[in-house]
Amino acid sequence: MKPWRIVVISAVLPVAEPVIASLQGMGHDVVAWLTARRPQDRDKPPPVWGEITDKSAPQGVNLIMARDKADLAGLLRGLEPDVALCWGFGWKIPQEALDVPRHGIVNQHPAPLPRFRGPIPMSWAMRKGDGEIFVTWHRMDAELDTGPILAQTTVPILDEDTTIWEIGPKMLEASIGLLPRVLERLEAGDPGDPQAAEGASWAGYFDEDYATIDWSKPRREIHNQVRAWHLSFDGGPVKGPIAELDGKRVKVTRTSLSDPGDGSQAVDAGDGKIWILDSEPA
Amino acid sequence: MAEQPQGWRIVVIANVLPIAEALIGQLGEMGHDVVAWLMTRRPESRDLPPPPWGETSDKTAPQGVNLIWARGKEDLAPLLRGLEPDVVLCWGFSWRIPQEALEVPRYGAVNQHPALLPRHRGPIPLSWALREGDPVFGVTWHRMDADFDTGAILAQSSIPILDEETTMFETGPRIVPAGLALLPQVFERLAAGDPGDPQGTEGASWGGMFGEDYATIDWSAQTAREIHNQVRAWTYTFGMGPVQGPFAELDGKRVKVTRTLLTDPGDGSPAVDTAEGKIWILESEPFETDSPA
Repeated sequence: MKPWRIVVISAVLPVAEPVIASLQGMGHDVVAWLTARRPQDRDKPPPVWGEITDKSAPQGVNLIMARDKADLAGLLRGLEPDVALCWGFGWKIPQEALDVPRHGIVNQHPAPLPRFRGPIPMSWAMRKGDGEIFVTWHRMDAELDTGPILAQTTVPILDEDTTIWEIGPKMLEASIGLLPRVLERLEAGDPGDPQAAEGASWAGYFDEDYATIDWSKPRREIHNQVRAWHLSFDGGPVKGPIAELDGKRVKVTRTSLSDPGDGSQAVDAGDGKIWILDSEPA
Repeated sequence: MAEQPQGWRIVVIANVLPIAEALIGQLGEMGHDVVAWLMTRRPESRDLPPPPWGETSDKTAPQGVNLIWARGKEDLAPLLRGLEPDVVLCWGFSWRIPQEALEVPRYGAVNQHPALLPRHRGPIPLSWALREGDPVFGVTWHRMDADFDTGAILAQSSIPILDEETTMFETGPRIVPAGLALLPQVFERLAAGDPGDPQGTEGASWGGMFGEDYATIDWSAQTAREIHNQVRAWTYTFGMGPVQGPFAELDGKRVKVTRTLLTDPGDGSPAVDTAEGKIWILESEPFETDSPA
């Protein structure tokens, strides 16, 4: 296909970086990386990948930090993009901005849509014991995570995948692998496959009802609970999962179903041992 | 007095955080909407240390504006177009802005050049004012055209050059308010569609980067004031040109002189006799033999 002018919309440097590199590798012109300004984070420490600056951002693209949703259409319009790809962006994009790119805006949502729409789909896949995480590219419409699907695949989740640092790279690889198919369908004017009306669910932030660890439960359920909370990145109002450990209340952040052999403490769960790799005072 | 426009959509183009900060703050107070601060991506400085004010990021940049780092000149027009600016204000920007981009803002693009234009056009006007022994630094807002620093003048003033100012950290905070104070006049003239005053051809000068002919201090041939100006002139180039300076012989060693005074600072700094008067050497660096010839 002819090189396209593509805008990448993401708040996450380790996502933007490989997506931009891959699109550039496919011969496209990534005209901009667009991210959001976050005045509410002004006094917080930088994200683990550091602040986004001219020096840290991928080269060869215009770098844009939007102050508000209402500015998105104006910021995109002059760039005359063929498509915008969105992945890991906190704002709901207004219709006016969705209408700017010639082929619309396509979003990556890590879920078997229409299942797990909403902010923490990976956490819900863990909570439900799915054993896999979906990656889905879909056209964006005025509602969240409801647009027609252009490409979808799954990433198996192993017992030893405990953090985003193990799961993220697999998802990136799988999602980027779908991009040629996504762009092909867009170029063909393919509207995509409408999401099924049945089976839709909302992956909202966890509540108190899931915030406590019950050691009498099966160990895999507990392991999934710990990973599910980790993958929610403390985005919701409730913190968890909290457990009683040696008479102290702790937030458990990393567990293992096999002995890591490093002296980590083992706890007896309902059907066997679970090892506590990391925890924080609650 | 003509009417002061209100609620304009303004794009600020600047590469220096303290300038952008002051300008954006002032425009906000004047009731305008600074829709974006636009600067350049600088792949060439990727491995250089951050500037003294730190890297520009979401956290360090003024709030309430879109931030844009442009990757190339040809991207300026498309980046500006969607923002539908009424005016673009440029101050301390290294690229020549293409005509296509200059035509985007409704009332035009205006640049602040720190010189009494048409005198001292070019990249280091403050340095040339010092080198020429000017009594003042100029501050000029002018319409931007296809050439560097040649467009019609909308407002102009000056500040006296003080003997005791030796670095940009003293001069910057004096020039910035002088530039901001002219904004109401600039905006009135823009709103009225005033083309501005064409620059005269008389007194026009272009000051490029300094060469070898100005890179050496001769204690016995130059006056203390000439040397003081030479040292400051080089300081205000920020090491941008291909030649470094000014070099001098001090206690039998070749040094680069970086800060001087015409009066005794009383801190034991060494004094040197010149062709006319003493000069005190506050700071100097060893001459690096591997520095470019």
